[in-house]
Amino acid sequence: MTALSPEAVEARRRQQVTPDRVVFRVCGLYGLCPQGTTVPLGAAGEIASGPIAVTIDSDADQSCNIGMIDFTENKLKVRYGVQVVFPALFELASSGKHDAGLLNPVRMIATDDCTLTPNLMGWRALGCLDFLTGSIWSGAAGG
Amino acid sequence: MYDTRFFIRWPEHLGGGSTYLDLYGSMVLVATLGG
Repeated sequence: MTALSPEAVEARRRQQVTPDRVVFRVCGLYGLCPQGTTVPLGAAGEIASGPIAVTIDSDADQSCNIGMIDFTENKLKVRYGVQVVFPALFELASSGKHDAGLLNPVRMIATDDCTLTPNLMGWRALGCLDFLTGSIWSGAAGG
Repeated sequence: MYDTRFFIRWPEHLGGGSTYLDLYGSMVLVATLGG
């Protein structure tokens, strides 16, 4: 260990530090699934969702909307809360056949393990979804 | 830009089964810590 001197302190100050890992917050997001999917309704059968749109869940708890980029591994991990809407949700709400209290925007928490794209401007991922309570689809999950 | 594939398992009370959901979009990330 070198002695701490004015020169050593100045050398430390000039040293450029490039972080290998960066922790971040997610301040905004949107997502689309134009082809939609088929969603089950229990005894009522199932329904085609139509195009799905998601946006950040501003009511998500403190464990959400955070992540970390590891530039040495070219990986990114992010956990975020989203609210989800799709045309079938409105059809169900307007039909009057279902509990309207369960037909608010669906809330989910997503955890993505991602590989950064070569230009570092994006990522591809396999994600885990957990549906929060308050919708018809509460309890659905996957990864 | 992100492109994520989710695998969803539906609860048994909804009939069970599973599906894939492919989602793409954009996020705004703000760095908070580095090291």
